[in-house]
Amino acid sequence: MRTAVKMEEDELVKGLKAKSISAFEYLYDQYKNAIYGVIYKVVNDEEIANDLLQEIFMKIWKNIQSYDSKKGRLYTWMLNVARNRSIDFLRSKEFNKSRQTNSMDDSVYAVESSNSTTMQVDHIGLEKFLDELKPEYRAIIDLAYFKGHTQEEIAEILEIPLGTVKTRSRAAIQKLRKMMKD
Amino acid sequence: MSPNKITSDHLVDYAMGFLPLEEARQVEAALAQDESLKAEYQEIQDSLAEYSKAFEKEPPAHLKDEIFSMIADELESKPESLPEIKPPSSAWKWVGIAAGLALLVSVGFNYKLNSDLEKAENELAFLRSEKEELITSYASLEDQAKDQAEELDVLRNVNNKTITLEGTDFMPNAMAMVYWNPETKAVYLHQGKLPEPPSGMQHQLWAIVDGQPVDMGVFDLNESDPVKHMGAIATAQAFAITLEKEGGSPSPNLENLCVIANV
Repeated sequence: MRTAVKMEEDELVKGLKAKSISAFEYLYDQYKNAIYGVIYKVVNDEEIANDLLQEIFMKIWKNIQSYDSKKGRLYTWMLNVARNRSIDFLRSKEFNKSRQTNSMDDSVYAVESSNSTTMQVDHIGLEKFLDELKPEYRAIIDLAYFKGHTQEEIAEILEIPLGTVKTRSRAAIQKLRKMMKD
Repeated sequence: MSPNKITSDHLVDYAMGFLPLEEARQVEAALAQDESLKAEYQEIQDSLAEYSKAFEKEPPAHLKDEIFSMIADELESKPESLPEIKPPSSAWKWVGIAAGLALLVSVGFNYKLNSDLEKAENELAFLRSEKEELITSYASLEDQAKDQAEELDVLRNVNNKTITLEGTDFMPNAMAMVYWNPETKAVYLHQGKLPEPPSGMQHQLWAIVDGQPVDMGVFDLNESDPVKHMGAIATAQAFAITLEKEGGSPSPNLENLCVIANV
């Protein structure tokens, strides 16, 4: 029933490409939580996430012409814009400077995963993932997909052989795909 | 790694950002050519996207205003670059400059008007499609609500007789329900568990009155709207459903008797 009231994605994209502010406002309201969640997941800092959210939504507004619906869903495109920008920031000098004073250990991701407080579990929901996706699978996805680490770095952080990183990441995605179909 | 050797494993490595540039290019080239590979890659991307939604977090409310005022600024300062003019050296110089300036002002003004108009048109086009979208979904919800209210009334009516029609040897697993109110003569049918008819055929409901079949109408199966309002009848001793050619028959083909029950 909820999808019936939801605007068709085609219509939304048409509006965005025509630079309609109402369309963009709809987009913002629909996706702000998901996009902000991704940025925060990457940078793990609210102030930085606030700046990046503005920058990323401006980027979406300016670059919407380059979105091609044949290549995938709108959210997937936006997510990649947000993720790439946030990971770039994570690797930038700017961030590393602030990090020296406020250091955090990457290996905590193996167990921490996410304990953020203001989580809104609407879609499949974090709980389902926490229940069904093994911690070692989540750790790999978090480190690779949200932190942009290489296989070698992940092997080092998790203290597992490189081959295990490969097999685990494949198994993790297989499991994720299966969960989406169920 | 040639394009036809790209496997699911490569797609996963690519999605995770593990591939060196050269191999990533090969995957991209393969994705551009191979539709089934592309579909699989999109599925991987979508599953990661769905996973990412698990981390939803509400941003501070003031960010919205800031973003939208940035957008308003950006729309205002659209490149209104106008050609620079060099002052001519003839005697007509000043007239020319004056005329040029007047033209510039007018062009600039028109440009502004046009871009405002375009913005307004874009807004309007979007709002219109949004409105149509809402009207359609509202109408369909209203229809659904009406159907459901009607069905509920039928099912709740204490004067109704509920007759469970049971499968015959021809269709042992079939089942359907008739709700009949002899006072108002109304007959409603719940499609229950009737198998899809073969193409060119339809189900037809019959009331048996003093041994004679009376046509109560044909119907299509529809799981989202399983209760149908059929014909009216004041007396009946039994109800039955047969498979008939599309549009129904004047008398039932008893070889195709699906379900039947006495009242």
